[in-house]
Amino acid sequence: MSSDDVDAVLARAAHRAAYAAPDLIAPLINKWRIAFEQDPAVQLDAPNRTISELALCRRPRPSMWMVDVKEISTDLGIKLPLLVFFLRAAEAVERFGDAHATADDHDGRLMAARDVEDD
Amino acid sequence: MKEILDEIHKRLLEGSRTASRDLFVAATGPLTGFIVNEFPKLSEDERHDLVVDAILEHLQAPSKYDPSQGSLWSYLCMIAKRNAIDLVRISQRRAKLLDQKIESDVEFWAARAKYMYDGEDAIDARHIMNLHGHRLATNDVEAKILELMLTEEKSTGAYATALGIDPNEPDTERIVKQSKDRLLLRMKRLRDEL
Repeated sequence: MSSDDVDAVLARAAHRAAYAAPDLIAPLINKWRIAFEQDPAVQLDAPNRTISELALCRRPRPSMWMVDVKEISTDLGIKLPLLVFFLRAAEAVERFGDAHATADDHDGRLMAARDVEDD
Repeated sequence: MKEILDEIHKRLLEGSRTASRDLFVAATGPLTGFIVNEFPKLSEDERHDLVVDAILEHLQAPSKYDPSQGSLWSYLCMIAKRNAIDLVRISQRRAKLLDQKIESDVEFWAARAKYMYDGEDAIDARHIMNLHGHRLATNDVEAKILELMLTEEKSTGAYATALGIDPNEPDTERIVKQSKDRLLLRMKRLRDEL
């Protein structure tokens, strides 16, 4: 497989993991992207391939958070302060999202009700 | 490959955060090749999803893999193959459902049904009616309307009679069109679902 092929394969895996792998960082990156509407690659000063690889890493454990983030930072070559800030923000977005229903969820329910009515 | 995967697995069990990334990098290509050989008719998307899901399944419970039973490579292949067989079975079952013939009044209409639309929007009304007539027509009036549509009845009066309304009323044409459009929409949604 060429380097471009590997990049594409990892990007696709990261995309699927965002919805199917709660234990990986992929869902966190996805939530951060939605919340801040920015490119994680820019925020982390890293190429897209590195972001895909980050997505496929396991989430830092609460009891060993900084140790785990340092491992990821070193292995992937992402600057530690940037990664710390990014992951903290993503986890905060996730906690906030879990605690409160979003407007989209509400609109979705209304739209479903309208579909039933129209039928 | 075996040694590389075994090393990655050891790191997974030790709690490494990046071992999962390494597993994807190491295993995705070879696992895709395995699926291509075993199931050449699967689409690229299906193959990709099978490979990723096999790796994810292992990552969610790495201690389920028993090294005494075989290599991690064999284990991943086993997961991917099992899921591919399930996928093929589901597709075959779905195709079989569309071909089933059911003896009923619905089949009586279906025997006369023709394609409702031309071109890419063609709906095989016969297949749909065989299985799902009860979902398209929820009462006797709708069943009569559906029968008229499937036999390509053109007269508004015939539909009006089925609806129990006066064919000469000014609103009749609009009401008939609404009824037909409702059933056509259900058929289209059902077809999209199938």
